[in-house]
Amino acid sequence: MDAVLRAAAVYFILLIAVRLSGRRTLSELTTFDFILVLVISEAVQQGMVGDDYSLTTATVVVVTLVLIDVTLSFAKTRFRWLEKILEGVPTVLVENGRLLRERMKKARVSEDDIMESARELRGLERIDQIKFAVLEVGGKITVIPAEPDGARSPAPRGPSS
Amino acid sequence: MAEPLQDPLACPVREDLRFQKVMWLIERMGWIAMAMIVAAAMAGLLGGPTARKETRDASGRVHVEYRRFQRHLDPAALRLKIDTQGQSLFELTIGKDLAQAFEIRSVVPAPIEMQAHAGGLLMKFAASPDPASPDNGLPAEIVIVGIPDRPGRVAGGIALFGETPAPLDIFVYP
Repeated sequence: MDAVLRAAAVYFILLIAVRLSGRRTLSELTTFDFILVLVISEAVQQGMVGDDYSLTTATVVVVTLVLIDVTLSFAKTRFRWLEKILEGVPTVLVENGRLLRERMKKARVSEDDIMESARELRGLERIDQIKFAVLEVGGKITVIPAEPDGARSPAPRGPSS
Repeated sequence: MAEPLQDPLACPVREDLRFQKVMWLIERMGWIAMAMIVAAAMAGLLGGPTARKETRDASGRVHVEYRRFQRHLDPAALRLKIDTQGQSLFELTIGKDLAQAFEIRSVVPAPIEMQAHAGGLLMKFAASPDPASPDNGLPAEIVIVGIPDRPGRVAGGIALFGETPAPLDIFVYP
């Protein structure tokens, strides 16, 4: 029972810590972030199993963690509010070429981050070429390019004479 | 605060700015909480060597240095100084609650006898066998290393046999 409670406690502590760190922090791992993840896993390992190196405890811990994860994923599909709490909601950062600076500041996203995604995903060069840039729940920035002028207001099709 | 969208209907995602604002606020409160946890750990409130506390019995013969806050399964030492008043033998009683809450790993110097007692654990020690020793007359020092077996509050005492115990109040974090 001890191993189950410890594994469950570690799961929720990590869940809270990752949510509090914000979407940008662990989404796109730099080399240092990767090392940090390894160090964190080492730190929580002791808290979960202590001095117990038995296969039984390892199995119980793994099964507990996976079970909580599966249960929460089911619960998230059933309860939208839970999904919002656990994963967050997408946030629009650019609208029709206009940077929404207050949102960017809160989400800790810079203009360079947005332009990096714009270049990488769509080959865009300027901010005014972006219709929408969205910080997704996974921490990725997706970009919808502005439509060319001609495509924005297509000519009404009338009956041909 | 965060700017509303000029044309929310054209927005390709279902955003919830009100909820997002609450989450940003919670995020910032969480950072403060994390800073407080680190500060509390530095101040010794979460256990570790900085959580040291001292206590004495009523007669002043038993002096105990221990950690007020300890952590489950993390070994911690009790350092005792006993005024033996020149006696070659003395007996210490570790209170029942204390003895049950800790798994004793080592006692230095080793007691010459240990007994389970109604009031706890009774340890008999030999003190200064050589009266010519320059250490004679100094308090006997004993180090007991124990591992907290269960989380929660542990209150107990350590006493010379038959005397009022030095009270210990320990909180064991999970």
